[in-house]
Amino acid sequence: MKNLFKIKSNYFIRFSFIIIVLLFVFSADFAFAHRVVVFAWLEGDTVFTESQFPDGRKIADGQVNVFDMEKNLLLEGKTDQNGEFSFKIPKITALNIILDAGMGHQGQWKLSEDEIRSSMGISGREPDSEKPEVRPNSSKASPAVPSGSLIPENAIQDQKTAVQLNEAQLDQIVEKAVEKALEKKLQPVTRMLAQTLARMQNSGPTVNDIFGGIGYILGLMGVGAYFLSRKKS
Amino acid sequence: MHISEGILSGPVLFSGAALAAAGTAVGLKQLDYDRIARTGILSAAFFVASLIHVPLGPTSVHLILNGIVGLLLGWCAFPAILIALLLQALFFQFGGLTTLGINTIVMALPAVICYYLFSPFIKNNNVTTIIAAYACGFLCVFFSAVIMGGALIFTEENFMEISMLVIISNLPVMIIEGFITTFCILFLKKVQPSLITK
Repeated sequence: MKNLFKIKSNYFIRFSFIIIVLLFVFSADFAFAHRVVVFAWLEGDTVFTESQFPDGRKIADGQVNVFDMEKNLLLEGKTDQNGEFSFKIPKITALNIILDAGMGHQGQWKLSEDEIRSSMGISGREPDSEKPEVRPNSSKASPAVPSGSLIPENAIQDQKTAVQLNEAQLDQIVEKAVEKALEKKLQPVTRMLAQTLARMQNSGPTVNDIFGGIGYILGLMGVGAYFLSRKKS
Repeated sequence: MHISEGILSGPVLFSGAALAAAGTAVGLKQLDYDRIARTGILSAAFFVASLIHVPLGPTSVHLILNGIVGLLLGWCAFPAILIALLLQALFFQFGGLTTLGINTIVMALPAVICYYLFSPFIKNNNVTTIIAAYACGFLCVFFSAVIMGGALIFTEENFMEISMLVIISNLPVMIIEGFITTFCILFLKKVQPSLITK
């Protein structure tokens, strides 16, 4: 009888091994995960999002809904084959991007209003770019005030303002050009940074987490045993 | 198998939590000296099982192990799974705190059902044990998928469609869990028969 059992279990092990190997080979493309992650980054006035499972697989055809903080649906869309979905900023407000991958899986990413403003160049930059235009105007107005006794000096001042004006314009042009070039150069960097950030958030549980959890369970077991023993005594 | 936060509506979450609380109460009442150690160990096993990813082609599946937890614990599966899910939610962000109740129902209720269905057959001869243990591991995940489909019915319109999707996508897990449950039960029967007969 014992031998019979041994033979049977041997068969069983072989059979199951074959089944498992077959499973590996002919596996279907299903999505399994405990959770899904969506992350978003800004480039100019466009929001780029990428959605993936914790193992790094991209979520294709996931439903992306974009809400503002009052939970009004601003826009919706679907991720492409690479799990990406991008859209123009619909409204200058904090955005809550929610990914619904179906079967109870949902992830979200928040973009604050400050991030969006700075990406669109709304805060800070507008008054800055106006300043250089104001400066030449005021310096042009000032030469009219001094008396006409020192004509050559006045002429020099005029020349100076002309140079100043050119410098200011030049500043503006250079600033714009540098900004454009930087944006282009920095695009991959921002993307990489966003992806790294997401990966960090997305990284699986650490060994500390696992042993911490087991420790909690054993501790609770001890607490339970303690109370049971008190009840008995 | 873990339902994320912010998907289900309030009533579903609330009734899930109420049912889970009731099941846990029954389980805690049955916890005695013998069972408490077993419950703790199986809770830890369940806690870790979700981290074991079995590579499967382009993706991977993770184990649930609720079949074997139910088979060995009966109603004590409720507190064991509740604690493990709570810790998974806190440490790994699987599921969430608001969905703790419904997730407990999804995984612990099939465990108890399978306990009543299959535990009588485990004590019999080896062939019956093998079949019963395999069916237990397989059907436990199947029932979980059905309950999950039921919970999602209120958010996704088509019950049949969503249930079928959940069941089909978990089919490989069912097959693997069946084997693992069988191996574990056969092993325990040889090494520690008292765990099963009690």
